[in-house]
Amino acid sequence: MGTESFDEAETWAAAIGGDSGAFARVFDAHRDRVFGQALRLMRSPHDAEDVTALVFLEAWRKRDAVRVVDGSVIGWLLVTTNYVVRNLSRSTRRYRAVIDRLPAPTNTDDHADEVADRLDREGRDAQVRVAFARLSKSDQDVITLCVLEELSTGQAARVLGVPAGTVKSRLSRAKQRFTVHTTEVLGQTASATGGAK
Amino acid sequence: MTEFDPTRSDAIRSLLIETVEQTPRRDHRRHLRIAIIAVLAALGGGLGTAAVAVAVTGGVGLPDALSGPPAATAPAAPTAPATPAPPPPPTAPVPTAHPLVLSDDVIVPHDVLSAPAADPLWTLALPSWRQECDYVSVLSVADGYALIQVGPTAQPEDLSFDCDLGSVRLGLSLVDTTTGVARWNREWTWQNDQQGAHFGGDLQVKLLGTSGRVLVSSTYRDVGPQEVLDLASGATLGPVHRSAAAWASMQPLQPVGGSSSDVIEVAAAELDASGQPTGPWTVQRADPLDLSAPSWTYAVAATGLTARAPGNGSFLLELGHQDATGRRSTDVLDIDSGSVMVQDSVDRSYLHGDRFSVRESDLDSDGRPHTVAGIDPAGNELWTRSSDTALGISLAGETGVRPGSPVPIASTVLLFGDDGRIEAVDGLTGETRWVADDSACLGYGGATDGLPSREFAVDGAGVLRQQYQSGGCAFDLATGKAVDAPEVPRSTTDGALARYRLTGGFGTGGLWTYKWEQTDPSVPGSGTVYDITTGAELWSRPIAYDESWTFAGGRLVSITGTTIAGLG
Repeated sequence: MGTESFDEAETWAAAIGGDSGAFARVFDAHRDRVFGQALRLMRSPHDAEDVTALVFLEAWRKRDAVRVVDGSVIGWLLVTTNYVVRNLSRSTRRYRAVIDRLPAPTNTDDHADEVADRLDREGRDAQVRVAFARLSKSDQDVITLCVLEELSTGQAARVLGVPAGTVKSRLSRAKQRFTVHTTEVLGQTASATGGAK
Repeated sequence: MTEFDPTRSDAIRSLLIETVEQTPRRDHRRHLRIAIIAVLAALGGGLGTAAVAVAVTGGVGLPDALSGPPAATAPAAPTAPATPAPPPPPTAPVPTAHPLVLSDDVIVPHDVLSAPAADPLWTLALPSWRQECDYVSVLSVADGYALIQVGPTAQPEDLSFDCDLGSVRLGLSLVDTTTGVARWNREWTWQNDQQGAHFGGDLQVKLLGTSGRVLVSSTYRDVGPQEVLDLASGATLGPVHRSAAAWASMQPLQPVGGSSSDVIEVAAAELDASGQPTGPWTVQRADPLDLSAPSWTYAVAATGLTARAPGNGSFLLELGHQDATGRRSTDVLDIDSGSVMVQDSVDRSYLHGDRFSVRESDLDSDGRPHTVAGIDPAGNELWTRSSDTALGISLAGETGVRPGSPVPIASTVLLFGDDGRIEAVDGLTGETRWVADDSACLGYGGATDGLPSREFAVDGAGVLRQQYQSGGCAFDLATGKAVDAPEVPRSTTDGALARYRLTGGFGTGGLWTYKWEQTDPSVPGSGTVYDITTGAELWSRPIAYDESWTFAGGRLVSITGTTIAGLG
């Protein structure tokens, strides 16, 4: 992740022209944001890493369809992250041979899942993640772009291929539904906690 | 904060580099050309999407190396005598440059809601040789651009006309339909001594997705042109060599669509003297300029096979085949890789929209599905619905065309239940938009299948209207509320906001006539435009006896004799 000058549009053009180093630079530039979005949706960092790999493999496979918005492909990558997570089994099947070649996680110990489970049960992030997972793909995309990643309405519209007005109305409805889901999930937890007392 | 495992990150990075480097170089060149032009277009024209701007005569000043044929593909001599002709002189003043911008954006009709001036905006001469057997076709390629095809000379509908079907002509022009300027013209002539080849549907002119290429291909190997053109210049990029036996009739090549210029080719099994196949049918994906080097090939032992590529860039390729016992089944391939996703299924079919497909499965004995699923072009399953009773399915067609994509523009899936329930589903998300009662809708063909008509369309005012000869139901697309929609006269051409109905004319250009019109050529007909929502007449004007109207690149044009004219 260097700080050298990086013209993403030019780099992307070079990448899809077959410049593997350029494609790697796009990966370097956006790996963490894709990973971060995957982490919002996946419990395990290990799975989120796999999703990150799948997103970039999809970017290569669908390189003609990747939308460059304001010189960046990040919007497309984030929306594709949502796709990949929702269709993980299919995406994994498509790239099974590639994923199987990745090394096992180095930061895993015998208790990692147990710890993650406990954090999940107790953490507000996990509850928000559950609420987010209940949203439709459309709602997830618009919240990802406009709220979590702070793209402008116009940028989100171009990523999603819909008018800006549609993004605004989708966002409004998505926020309402997200609030409802979050309230439900937190309410269930509060109720369960209260009952334990 | 959770961080990416550095070892796994390095491994993924290496895998990505390897993946890029293992992709065939042929693909890189094509993608690079598209990418560079897209970046230039975005910088110069403020295009934020993956649009492709292609320089044309008098258009934007992109470097020749980018606007012309790819360097890797040397122009070759046409396979049929081709005579490039100079553009006919336009009758309108020379317009300002109007760049041809290729993208997958929908071309929406520019409705003409007020009466145009008596004189058209522009006129352009069609080939002077055009006669009654040379039909005119319009293929919209971008907003303000259309390919105008005249011919090939075909069997006349009215046999009282005597056309020479042994001498066939085809004309093709790229026309700026906002100004009437022909950017280029091409003509082909050939002799047709093949019995049975009438060149109605025996020759195809198709866009190869949004790749900037055009396929001109006969379904007879040695009769008629077989070549790929550069859309911007009209130049021949190279011949299409098909491997069928001489004079054999072949299945048409099917564009894969999207940004790819590849096609799907089906080759029939060889037959022995008794007509029995001696080998398999084969299906392959390849660049039409190099059909001998397919990216994949798939073989099926069958007595007959048809392939169905959606042509919209979707991953789905359906192969319907029949065995010696007459049993029909379907294989589904991933069109990118040729890998088999479903084999020998008798339990699924697909309906395609421009941005998603709908899979029907759990078919009952009448072939009606109990389960449907929405699938995006990359193959991701977006949503599913199941029902104990059979479902009727329709896509709510919207106005417009997506260049190079033959499937309807649609964002809404309509599911019909036996209980009179209509559910409108967002095709991309699976979200139920609304549920309504269909009691105001009319049955289809006497409602023989127990379900209402599957034909609905959305007009420019957002009204979902049953497409029935007269009457039918209508709903507000946004809310599902029943709308009392006045009847609007049927027309030959529908816009987003208006219908364009020609009456009293002989036909729709040449001999492609509407026989229910009892016309007298001595009495002038008229073209009348109606508000698509209210049915109110907006304007009317006289038409020539053989005049037709259509949208070409989103602009309303009239075609009569050897003239095409802009109306709005």
